[in-house]
Amino acid sequence: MFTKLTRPLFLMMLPVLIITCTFLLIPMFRLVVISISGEDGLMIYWHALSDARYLQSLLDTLFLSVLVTLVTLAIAVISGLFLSRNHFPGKSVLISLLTFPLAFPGVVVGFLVIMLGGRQGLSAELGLFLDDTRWTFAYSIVGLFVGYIYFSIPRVLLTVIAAVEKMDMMLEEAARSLGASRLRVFIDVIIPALKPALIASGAICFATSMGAFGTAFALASGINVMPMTIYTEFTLGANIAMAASLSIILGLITWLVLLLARSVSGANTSPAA
Amino acid sequence: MNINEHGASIRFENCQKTFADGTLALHSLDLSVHAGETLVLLGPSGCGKTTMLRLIAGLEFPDKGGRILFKDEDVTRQPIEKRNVGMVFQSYALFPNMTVAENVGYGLKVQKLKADVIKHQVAEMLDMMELGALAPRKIDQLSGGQRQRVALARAIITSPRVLLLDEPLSALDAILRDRLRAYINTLLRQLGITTIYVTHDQEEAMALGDRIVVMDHGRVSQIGTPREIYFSPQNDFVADFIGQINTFEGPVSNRRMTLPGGILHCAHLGDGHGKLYYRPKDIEITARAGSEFGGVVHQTQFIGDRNRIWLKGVNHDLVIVDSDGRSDFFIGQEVGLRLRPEQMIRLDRQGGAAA
Amino acid sequence: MKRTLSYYLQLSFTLLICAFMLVPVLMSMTAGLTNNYFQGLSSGLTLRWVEEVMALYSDTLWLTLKLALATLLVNLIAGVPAAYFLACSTSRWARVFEELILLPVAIPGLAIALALIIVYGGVQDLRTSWLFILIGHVLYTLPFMVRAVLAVLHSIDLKLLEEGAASLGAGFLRRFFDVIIPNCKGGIISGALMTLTLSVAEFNLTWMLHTPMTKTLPVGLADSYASMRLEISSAYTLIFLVLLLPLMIGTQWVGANTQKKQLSPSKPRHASLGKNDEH
Repeated sequence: MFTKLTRPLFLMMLPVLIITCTFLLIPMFRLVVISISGEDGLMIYWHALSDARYLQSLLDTLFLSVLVTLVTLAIAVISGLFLSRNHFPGKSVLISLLTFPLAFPGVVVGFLVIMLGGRQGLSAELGLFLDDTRWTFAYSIVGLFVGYIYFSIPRVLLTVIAAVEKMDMMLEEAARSLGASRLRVFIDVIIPALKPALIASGAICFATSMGAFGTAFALASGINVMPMTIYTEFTLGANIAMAASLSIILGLITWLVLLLARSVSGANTSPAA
Repeated sequence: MNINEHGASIRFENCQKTFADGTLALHSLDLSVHAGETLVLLGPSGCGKTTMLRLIAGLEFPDKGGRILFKDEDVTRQPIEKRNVGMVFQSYALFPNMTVAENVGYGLKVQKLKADVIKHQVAEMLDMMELGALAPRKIDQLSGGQRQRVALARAIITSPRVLLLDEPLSALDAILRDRLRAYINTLLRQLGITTIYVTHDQEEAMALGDRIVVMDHGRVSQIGTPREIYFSPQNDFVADFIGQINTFEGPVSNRRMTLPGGILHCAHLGDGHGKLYYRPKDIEITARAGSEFGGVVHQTQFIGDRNRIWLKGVNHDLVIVDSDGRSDFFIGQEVGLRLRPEQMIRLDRQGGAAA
Repeated sequence: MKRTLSYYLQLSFTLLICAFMLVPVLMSMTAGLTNNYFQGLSSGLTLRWVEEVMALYSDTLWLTLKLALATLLVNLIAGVPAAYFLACSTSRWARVFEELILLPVAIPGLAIALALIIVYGGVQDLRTSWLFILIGHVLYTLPFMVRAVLAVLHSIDLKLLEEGAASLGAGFLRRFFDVIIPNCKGGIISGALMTLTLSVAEFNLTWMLHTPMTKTLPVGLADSYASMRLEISSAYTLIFLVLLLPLMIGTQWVGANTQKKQLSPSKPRHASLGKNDEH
């Protein structure tokens, strides 16, 4: 039973409703309409998914995002467990440093990757020193991969640390009292306990990677990830219907993955995580 | 404080409350509370006592047809902020963002009194409640007992028409509860304000109430003074809820009830099937030899001021007897029992489960 | 505790990751302050690149700040009441609204920007105004604001506090400003910090929505990465990091504070038997 206090509840919601309807619902609806109002009609979605160029872009993006998600999760679990289970001087500074790049926009991350693996980057210098050739990776799919890992780590790491801190240490101690080895404890107790957090943060990591635009833009690499393809269709090709339909496909994929993660993990895949 | 006016009388007319999910929390009820009276609503959880309090407060509204009156004013549809009631919540509802003084003065601030008037009244109230030294503290720096008194001070400073207390002592430990109970008692007598006090603790109810309303499953089981409720319960539920009671039940003939433990005299019962009620402390343990009624000690517990003894072989259920703490019994001991007719609890009406 | 081999392995791994996060940032910062990055630090330190960036791009800095503050303002006015609604309402619509508000997190910014351009791009006055970017930033940051406030509202006994205030005669507006707002201050602050940070660093939407007259800092950065020499790009990045730094420190500070509060629960249900309880 909720209290019968007098309050204009609906009025409180009104500003947000107006904003969301005018600037999100109506535009998204129009986006769908535009996508099928070309000469192809609904067939445009078939084209988007069968044309080799678009399909390749979609598959590249999916592959990259899945790989980035898995690698980031592995890194975050190792470092997250370590950071939340051990106490040593400078630990909070270390965590701060690791999570500081949380707010970097993709385009800055792209620039940082150039700093590492560009023609004048760290690895090029290292290559010149060791091998007399400039080692560069920034402009290939490796550069994208490194960049995506870079902006994914802080987010996932924070979630994992929070989840480990909430974990019941007693479960682990119980398993060890029953004679389980460290590896067994890790597989049977720690990973299941972290699963909801891993699924939730993994889904967010995947969605972010799918939609990331700035990094690819800054690296200007040959790899056309979906957002880049959409951007090119829109600006250079002026093919608005195709740009719209590709956006909708991309949006549907990320939205569905987040939805699925939420129903599987029961955890919160909302932004505050 | 200038709280000398005696609050308002309260009248319930045909008040019934059904919740949105269909549960009937309160059956149709007519009830008057006198001005200045302390009325205790007593019953187990889910009996409807809190619903009744919230109806008076204006946090719930009765089903169609019900009316609630303060004195002669119909407040049925008035929201709580218009009713001028003072309320102390079970977990106090003190505002964590305000100091003790700000909490206590909030009601006056809402009434748009001048700052210096508020300051003066708050200081006076805090002194009266022995909270003066705590005025600048935040709520999370207070102990439970202190929070309790801040909540009380906040509720009475506005001289409300009705003071509502929702299990105000239940979040405290036993010792503090006793102390605060005495404190509240003095305060209520001093203020003479109409008070509705909700509790599930019968001792608290008897200590504080001018009258007690015993409630069960959304109905009023009995209304009366603490003495009436204790000594003349109207039905099994009340008899059982107000302190422990032993129910002897068996066939009666020639004013004698035959039980496993022997014969009980019951001058007021006719032939047939009868029931007799005795409180544990009203039963006297005697030697087995020479008694026509008795049993065997099944279990004993020393509680300090008394020995609580469970006897078997007396009745169909175990019989509970409270005897002096200095007496000593062993399990398996055969004892006799003396039950005096004048200490028998009579149900005024054989209602409820008695059939 | 005994430090095992695995401890040191994990420590090294974590330090390695930290170096990966940190080294490029430090390199970029040095580059922005070096006379000639290709000659290295030996060419001397200078602020001349920073000055050059300020001359070229200072308008992007001001626009970014203006946008961030305006976004914050809208989020406060619209988002906080909305969070309150979501915390109070038990109706099915409330869940639908919640999903709706959170939608921009699930949909790539590019798609939202495209949709906005399709519908409102033709309105010239809006298209060329900074307000067009503001719309995008509000859509993108609002979920974070609402979530942050909602989390706090769920953790306090909102209903009880409001009933307490109402019993003292406070009407809705009084309760809202005297009790609700002060008690979800923590959520509002962390939501506000997040709003500012996200708005300052937003690129995906902004790149699509901007015009040559309305360039934000990240848009200017992308511009400089494409066309300027490395030192200028780096100096520009440095300015951006300096802008971001107080927001990040604020966020971490707020986070640490809330954690401390959670560790020492402020609501002991039972008073201790302590002698100092009643004097």
